[in-house]
Amino acid sequence: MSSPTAPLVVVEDLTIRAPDRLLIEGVDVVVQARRVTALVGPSGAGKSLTARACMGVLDVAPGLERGSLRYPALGDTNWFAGVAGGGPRAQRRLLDQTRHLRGAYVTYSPQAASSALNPARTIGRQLALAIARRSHAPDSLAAEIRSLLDEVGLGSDVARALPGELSGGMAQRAALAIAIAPQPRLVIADEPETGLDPVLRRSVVELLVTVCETHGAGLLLISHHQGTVDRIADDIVRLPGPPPGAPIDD
Amino acid sequence: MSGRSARWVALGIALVAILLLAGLALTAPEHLAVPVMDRAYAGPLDLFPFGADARGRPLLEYAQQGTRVIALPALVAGLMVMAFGVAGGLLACVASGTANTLIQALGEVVGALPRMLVVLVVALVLPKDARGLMPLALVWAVLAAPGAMDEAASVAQRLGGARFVEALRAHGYSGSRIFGWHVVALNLRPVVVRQGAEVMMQVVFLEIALSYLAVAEEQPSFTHADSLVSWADLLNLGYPALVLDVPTLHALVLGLCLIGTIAVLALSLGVAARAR
Repeated sequence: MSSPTAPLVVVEDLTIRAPDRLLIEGVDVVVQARRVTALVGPSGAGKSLTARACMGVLDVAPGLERGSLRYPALGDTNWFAGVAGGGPRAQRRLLDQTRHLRGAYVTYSPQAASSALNPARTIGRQLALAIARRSHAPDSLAAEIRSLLDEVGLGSDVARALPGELSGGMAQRAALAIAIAPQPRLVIADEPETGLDPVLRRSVVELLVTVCETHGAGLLLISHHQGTVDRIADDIVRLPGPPPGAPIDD
Repeated sequence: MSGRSARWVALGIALVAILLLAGLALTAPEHLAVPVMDRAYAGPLDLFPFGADARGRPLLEYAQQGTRVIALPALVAGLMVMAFGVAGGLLACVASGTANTLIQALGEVVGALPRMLVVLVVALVLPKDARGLMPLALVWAVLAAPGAMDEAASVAQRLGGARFVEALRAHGYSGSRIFGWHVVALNLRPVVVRQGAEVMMQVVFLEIALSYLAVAEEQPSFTHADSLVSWADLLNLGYPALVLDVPTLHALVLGLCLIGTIAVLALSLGVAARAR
């Protein structure tokens, strides 16, 4: 039986291997509700890989060598059971098994907002699709979209805009609105400040934290900026750098 | 007109054009009708809808056979290029940089080939009984394919390539929905449909170009080129009034209508694909 105070995600002893080297070894991550856990480390340390593993997405071969993934707020299932050493086929099975959690229990905001937003669909339509992942539909979809846009500091007219019509900061805010639209318990933000100027960077990250707090969600934040991490993180997971000479492919 | 309305109108026009072409092609007679000299040079009012040629054979039958000759190869070539374009776009989303570099290099090499020359060489190399527009259209499509793949790959890379797929996967979408709907249907569609429509038009004009070559070699043919030559001869003789009555003019109009129908089809498909 899950407890309301149980952690949202617990990853233990995460070890992932590429054909020629270990990408990450023995990483532990715990994210609690209403808390910010920062994942820090130099380029190539495996931050994004760890974040994806927290969602059940493993896309390297041979892949998972050992470790466990649990969502204690949902139950005691170890989602990595049977995946270690199973190669790509086991990882694809894991991907299918955890699909219902992604975009609902856990949402992800990638490094560049341009990658998070579908350029062929209006922001309103993308928000509607994200809202559809909720367990209960809102009374008024249009009102809910307006409310979400308002929450991230965007006007309701943005709902009719395509991503290409937005500035970098607006796109990042829209991506954030889409990430919180399904009312997730856990938000994973992969360097949300990438490509933004210092002023915008600060406001976007603070907005992210505020919005997650308002919704009672936990936040796993990947960041390169020590200042950002020191300012907002409740817990910090530090990843060691890659071995010298290893190709950087984070 | 809103984007959605524009799409439906364009799709409607494309559907009418496809039905017209398919109808003409499917009902085309295997052989032209038996000559009826009494109907020679009959006008559209005497023999609906296009009149008759010098031997009294309905020009409609020429139009039907022309449609069958042009429409199928053009459609097949267009669809083939679309399939290659989709493959190029999807590869850019899943494959490594090496695969994308290879596609780009292939596109540059094939793009440097003079297409018309290659088509003529293929036409000469083909056994006589295999000569026709279809193999030439397929060769044309193969030559156009790397360019389509390259352009689709550029669109996919602007989307974010593998990162875009990763973001959609994180939203909980299945592989078929990510690649089939979000990548192909929503984002690659405008570029691959436009590429397919372009190649469709190119194949039609290829047939016309080859018709001119047939005239130059004095081979017996009934083509748009023949019509134009006859028309020009008559004008040169100073009988413009006569021109209006001869079946050549009807044939010319028929040919232009056929090209126009395919042009409308290609353009409306492009508009429908681009509309939001």
